[in-house]
Amino acid sequence: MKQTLWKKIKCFPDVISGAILLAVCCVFYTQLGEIKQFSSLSDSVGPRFFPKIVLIVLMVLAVGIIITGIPSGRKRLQKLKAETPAEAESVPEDRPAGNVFRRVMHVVDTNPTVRSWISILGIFFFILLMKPLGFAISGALYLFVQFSLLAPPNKRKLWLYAIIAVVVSFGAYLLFRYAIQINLPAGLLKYIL
Amino acid sequence: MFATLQYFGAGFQNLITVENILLMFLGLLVGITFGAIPGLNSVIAISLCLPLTFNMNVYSSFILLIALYIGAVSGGLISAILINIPGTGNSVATTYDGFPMAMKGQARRALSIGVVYSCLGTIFGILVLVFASPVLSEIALKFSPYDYFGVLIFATSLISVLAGESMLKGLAVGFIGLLVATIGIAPIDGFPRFSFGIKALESGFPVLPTIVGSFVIAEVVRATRGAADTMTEVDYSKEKKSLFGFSLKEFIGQLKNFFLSAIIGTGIGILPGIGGNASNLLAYAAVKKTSKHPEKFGTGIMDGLVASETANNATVGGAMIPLLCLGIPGDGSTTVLLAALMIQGLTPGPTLFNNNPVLMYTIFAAMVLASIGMVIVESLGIPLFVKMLKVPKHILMPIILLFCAIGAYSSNNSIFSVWTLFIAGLLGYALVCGGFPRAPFVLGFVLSQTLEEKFRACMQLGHNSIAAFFQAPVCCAFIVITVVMLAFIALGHFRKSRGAK
Repeated sequence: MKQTLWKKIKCFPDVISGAILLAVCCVFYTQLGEIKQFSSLSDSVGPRFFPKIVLIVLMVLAVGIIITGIPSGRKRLQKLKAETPAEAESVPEDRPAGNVFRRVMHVVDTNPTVRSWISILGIFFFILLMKPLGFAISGALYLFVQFSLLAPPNKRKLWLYAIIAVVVSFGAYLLFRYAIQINLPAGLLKYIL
Repeated sequence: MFATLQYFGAGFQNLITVENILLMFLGLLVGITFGAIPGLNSVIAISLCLPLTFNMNVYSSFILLIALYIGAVSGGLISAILINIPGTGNSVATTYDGFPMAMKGQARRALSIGVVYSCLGTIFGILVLVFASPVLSEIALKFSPYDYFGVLIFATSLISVLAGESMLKGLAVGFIGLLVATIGIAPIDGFPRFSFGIKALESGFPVLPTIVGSFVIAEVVRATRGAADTMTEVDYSKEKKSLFGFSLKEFIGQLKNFFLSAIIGTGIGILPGIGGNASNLLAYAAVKKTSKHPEKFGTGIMDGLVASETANNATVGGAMIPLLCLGIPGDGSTTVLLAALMIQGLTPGPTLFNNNPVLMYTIFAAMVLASIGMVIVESLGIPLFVKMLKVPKHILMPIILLFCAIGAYSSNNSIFSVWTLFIAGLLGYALVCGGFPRAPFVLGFVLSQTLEEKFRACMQLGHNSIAAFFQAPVCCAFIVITVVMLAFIALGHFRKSRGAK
């Protein structure tokens, strides 16, 4: 049931993007009052003026995107409804036998959305851990995860990825820190180097 | 004219020593590498190498710094063409036709076209610099805030040309760019805006990580999804090898695009505060608008590449005009070059031109030599760059992201810049998923601050009178051109949508 509703919602991508844009604009609009400005400028062109104009135009454009997105969405919805129930029904996936790791990797390999979310989370944690762990360690961990995730399932060579990740991340850290004098976060390495 | 040639000759004489030529090639190699790594740029390259010049003579220091500058501006084309990620903001438009051309198995041709037109663009800028700089700098000085605003409003309206299929979506993305740039310190009075209580946001999003981030994260995540265009293995071995990658007939056919882009690039370079980040997009939009086959843009045609690479390198010559003639740096790179001149005990401006013409022409000669050297280095490097494509994408893309993070961090030694890369990346990915174009975002983001600054200055000058904008002839002309152009574009979209129905 939920899946069907989600499929219906997905027929209206422009309405969704327009609505998100409108919501973001509203949040920004409420913040306009928080911007300080000289009292003498209250009726004139202060720091609030330009963002206000931009926000108003953006809101109009967002409404335009929503309105123009409805007819094309309806067409997609009709197309979806026209699909035979057999086509619409999800085909049960063949789950591989084996341990939990294999099952998880199967889900990752067969689902692009899961892969892209793991990828985004990987980048997020790489940046989050950059200061406490240091650029080199955090970078090596990120590279290893991302290499493994991007690699075609039948060509995965985890030991090779581990070596490349460590060599590239530590190599880049040493090059930029000592040869080019960019003070990348040392993290745990400050106790060693 | 004869005196000019004489000075030029003396300039070349000052430069042509084994030491200087080696320094130039070293500068070009480092510059091209910094340009090619997304996140690093000419400002970082010149700043890092500036201390090396303290003990050099003035000629050696300038050949090194100019080689770094020219190399870094041009180097961005390599990653733009090969992996669809612009190395610097100067090469955003290069991705539009460069990457599709590479995906058609013509990476070598795309790189050659980019390299040759980078050189030609630089030389055009230098010629303008040599022959017209005193006049142009005087005109630039007389530009009132109204005139400046007129130019900027026209430049911003070019968002609509970059909009793509849906005008509404393109305009919305352009305005998102304008809005994102308002986060941080407001121009003129300096009050923080939209910081949402986050201290780091008070200084706003840094430019380079924002531009590069909007491309790189989306490309990595798309690669993770196994998107066909980023993961396809293309066979480059069958590509024909030719000296420049194009024929004489094609070259003649591109003359109009070349001159249009070179004029836009040089003009944008002369005006402070806009720079190469915008000039490549503006030239791309202008060439597309005047083309007989605009629908082919983005499919891997030569016109788009010529526009972007000519304009961004012509901006180098343009940016040197106010720097050398008036002592006014127009962007980050020329600010560091100004510092380099001052370290050598020189103050750029009209007096330097009159009192030390040989030195000025030596700088011009350094630019000519560096642009020729750039063609040699990049042409020799093309086979190597193309080999880079043989590295499996699942290894290459994450490594590129790692280097982007280094580039973002080095732009102001803060983790916030790396977070900027991430946030801009999420926005870029969301735009791609929603079918929105990314180019208008970059243009809006780059122009926003200067546009607002000039608008507010005009309003203060004219006591909040809108009529004052129409009383300044240059500003009025640009506003009229903008309105007419927008009306035509809107009409075209309307007819197209009626035709489709």
